[in-house]
Amino acid sequence: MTDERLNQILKESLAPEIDGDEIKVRMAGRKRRHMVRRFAVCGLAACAIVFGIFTGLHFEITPQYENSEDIAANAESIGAYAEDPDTNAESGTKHRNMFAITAYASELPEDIVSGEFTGLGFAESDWGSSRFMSERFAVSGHNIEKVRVSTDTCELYTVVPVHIGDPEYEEAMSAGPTEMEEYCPIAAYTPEGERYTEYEHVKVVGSSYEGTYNEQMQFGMSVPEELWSTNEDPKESAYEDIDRLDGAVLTVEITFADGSKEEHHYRLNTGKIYVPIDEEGRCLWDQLTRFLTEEESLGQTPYAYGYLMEIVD
Amino acid sequence: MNREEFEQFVMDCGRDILRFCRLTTGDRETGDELYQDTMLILLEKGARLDPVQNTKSYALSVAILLWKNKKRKYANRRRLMPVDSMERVEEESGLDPPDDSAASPDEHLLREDERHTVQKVVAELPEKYRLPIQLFYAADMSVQEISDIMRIPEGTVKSRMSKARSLLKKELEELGYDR
Repeated sequence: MTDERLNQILKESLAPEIDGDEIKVRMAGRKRRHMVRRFAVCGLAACAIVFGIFTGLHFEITPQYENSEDIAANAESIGAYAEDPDTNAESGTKHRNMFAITAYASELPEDIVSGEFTGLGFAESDWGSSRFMSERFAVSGHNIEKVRVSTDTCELYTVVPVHIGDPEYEEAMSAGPTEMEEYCPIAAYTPEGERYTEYEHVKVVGSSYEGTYNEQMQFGMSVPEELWSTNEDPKESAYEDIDRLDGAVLTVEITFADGSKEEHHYRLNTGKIYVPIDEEGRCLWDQLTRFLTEEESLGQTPYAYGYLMEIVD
Repeated sequence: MNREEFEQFVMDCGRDILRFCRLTTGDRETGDELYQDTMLILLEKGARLDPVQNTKSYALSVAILLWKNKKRKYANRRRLMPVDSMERVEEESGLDPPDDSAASPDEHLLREDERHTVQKVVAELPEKYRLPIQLFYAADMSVQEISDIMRIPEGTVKSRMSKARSLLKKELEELGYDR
């Protein structure tokens, strides 16, 4: 075969004609999330490592999927999430030193025991992969000054929202993605329903993170690329990557404002996690607290394959 | 890049980028989704894109990175959605099935068969040889642009393409293509 003939074959085979309609960028009508939600609510076994609603913050991702009810629901959660700084300041002095592992930074009940694990959040996976596992947790509490989180298996990533007006916002707008770090555009809405863009700064930080407490920061687990499964079945491959985390122990050490420290260890267990559904049929992705029972796993109960934490000490 | 410039960019370069996405992912639907995600990122960054920057190169870099980091998720989404839902998504999003009317059924089948064979052979190349070939033929990028996208010297791009062509030639000849 001559070089010219090879060139011709490659051109013909690798550059087929494409119709003008096919290159249109669809700003609306990408209804995957609604499809998936119906799928889950119908009770089919939703092996849902790939879908979810970002519940940790006051917005949902990819607005083109959402309807006005979702926006209204978001607006409500803005109210629930945006804490009054005065109240915070007061709580900082009024509450005892304590922390808990929560789905996101939240008000904590008075009777909670410090170190307790209350649940995980499940992030939208549009940009996710085994590099950024979908489940996330936050450290919530009172009088926290510094946080140190470390894992004995795989790595951690951090997520910090970048709002308009933040010093990092300009950088977020211009930075391109890299393998270990990304500014992910997030659709946010004004109370009037007008859309604007904010970002999440997602970054792999290695096996430990230490820094000043940021109540908006979330953490997630990251499986290094060299450990990714080579199983060709995508679902099995994803499950195998998640199972890399089975038995991992996290150490969370908190330094409080008065200089005292508290440390707890948490074990990660992987499996099919029960996804509760509210009266309107919405999956409650920030309330993942238990695995499916044996009976449920035989039926059509929606689940997410992932990990849950249990406190070790 | 304003909205009009973005639309013009889509008209000028969208085909090459979509073609590359489809080849990279190995299937039409996932390739279309990768293309849409890539273009939406570009649109989000529109106003911040450097006018002297090669936007097409940037878009292809984004597509390569998105695919590398997310292919498992794309694959899972495809798997999770029931077949009837997939059809509904296509209807709702206005995607048309491939146009089969341009050639006679026999010609079309032969052409498709040949195309799939060559695409499969290319897809089986190691990534370092495959990407330059796909960028060159499917996305119509020059050696210099491929060098920018892959962040490797031009000489390395040339040597990898040469090696890739030699592997492809051998493989295609073994499959019965003219010697």
